[in-house]
Amino acid sequence: MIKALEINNLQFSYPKKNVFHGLSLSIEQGKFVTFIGNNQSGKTTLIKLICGLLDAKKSIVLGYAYVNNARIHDNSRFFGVVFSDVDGKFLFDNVYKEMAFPLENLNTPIDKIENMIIDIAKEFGITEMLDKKIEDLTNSEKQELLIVISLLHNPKLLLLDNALSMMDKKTKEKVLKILKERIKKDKLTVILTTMNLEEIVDSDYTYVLNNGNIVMEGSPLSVLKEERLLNKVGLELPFMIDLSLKLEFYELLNGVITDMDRMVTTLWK
Amino acid sequence: MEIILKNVGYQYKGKKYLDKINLKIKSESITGITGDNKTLLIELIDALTLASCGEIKVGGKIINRENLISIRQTVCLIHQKPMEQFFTTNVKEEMEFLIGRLDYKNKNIQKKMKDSLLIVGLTEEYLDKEIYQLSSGEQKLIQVAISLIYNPKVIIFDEPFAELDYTNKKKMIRLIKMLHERYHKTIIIASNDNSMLYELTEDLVVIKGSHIIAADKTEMIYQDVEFLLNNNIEIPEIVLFTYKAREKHVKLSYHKDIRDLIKDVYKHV
Repeated sequence: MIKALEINNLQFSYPKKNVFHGLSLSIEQGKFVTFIGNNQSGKTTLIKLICGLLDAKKSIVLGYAYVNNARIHDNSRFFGVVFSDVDGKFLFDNVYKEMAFPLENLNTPIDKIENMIIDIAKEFGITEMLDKKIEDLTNSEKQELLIVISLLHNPKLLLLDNALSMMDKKTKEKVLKILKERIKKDKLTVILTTMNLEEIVDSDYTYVLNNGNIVMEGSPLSVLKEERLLNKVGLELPFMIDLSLKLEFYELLNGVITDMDRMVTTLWK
Repeated sequence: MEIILKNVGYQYKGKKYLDKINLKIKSESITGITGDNKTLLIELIDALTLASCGEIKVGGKIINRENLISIRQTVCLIHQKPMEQFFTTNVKEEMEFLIGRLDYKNKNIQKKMKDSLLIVGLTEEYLDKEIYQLSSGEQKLIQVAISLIYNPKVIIFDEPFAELDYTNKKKMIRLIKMLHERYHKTIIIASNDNSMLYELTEDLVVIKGSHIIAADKTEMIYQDVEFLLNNNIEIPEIVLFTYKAREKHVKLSYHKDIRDLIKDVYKHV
């Protein structure tokens, strides 16, 4: 088993607030892992620590190297990161220029840059977006673009901090499908933090964070079944998951279906 | 307290934001408002903004420039972002400030402050807390508590559930129900959370552009799925599921509670 990420006894506090007090976990390469928790649970802080924006004091190992915020530039080739906020994340007014910039920073030859951008645009089906102005994009498109950009340099690890929050349902499904293909093909590792429990259904493993502690972990289905504990840490089951689990309880259904049309056709053929 | 709007309009720089609004909000009811310009409409009822034309009657009093203060004592508006509405930094100071501003006189003001905190489910220790240290859920509760000191007849909530986690959402629902049932307040909820409006409100007003396109019993509007689809209004998931099942000639009835729905599904599978 090759580890993409290992956290050993992580301690971290802000000047007035203690966030992590001895967190340990490891994530295998080529897995899709989700972290759920409400506001203040430490999700964003964890992502910032993993990518080196905050100092983890040698308690996080990415691949084979310690995360060290003095060496953030070396590590940045290894991972891609997207935060939930879309405002103030863009440097240029044009989508193509915005996508080319990080590649230029990595000293990629110009003719190669163009090919890479066109390839990934085809993969996501956003070729017509390339000529658009950033300000004309919807929030959903902006979030999608940020994920596309973070994948441009083929990172081994993709960190998504609530980065699907503003996406409409279709875009979200498409992005998740592409990520899963990349996980299979390129052994990409994806870490997603979220408050929306529908987003964890397709992941390989889920951690529930509360006040910097892991209060539960396991397969998404086993986590979703603990409704009481989820409510206690401030999380709510979305309608389709609630419905699926209740139907499963009455042996009317197997597993969780988040798509409503599929649910109806499954129940009444 | 009954609220009647007659031919109310609001325009600014030549643009009509609300036009020919005729509406009657029943005394001691829970009314939902959804769609465009809802914040403007509730600001008109709270006399924060004055209508360009038409008249608004709150319990028999027509809103005009002379009786603004007495209207604001009868009608209380709980804002979506409470932090922007506080004048001071401390809960007690804020309460005293508001009492002074509204020229409210009562001998037992200290006891009243404590009681109103208890009603919203907070302890009297909150009197000495700094407002910016409270979570947004607590800030909203503080806003309600402050308003309860002068005993308003009408309480208007603007997006009361936005940004709240599960625990705080449940608390807010319980509080709204209690204010309605035990204290006989007239409640108005402006929100885009259609599932919540479907569950909580008795009457519903739908605004599209500057006009009211529907004002009826909540169930009547939300169960008319064709109307919702035509007007691009988000359909509560529990209704949409039933609608899709009915399209497949399954004889499900509309329910508000998921447990009732499951029982119905059980009968028809």
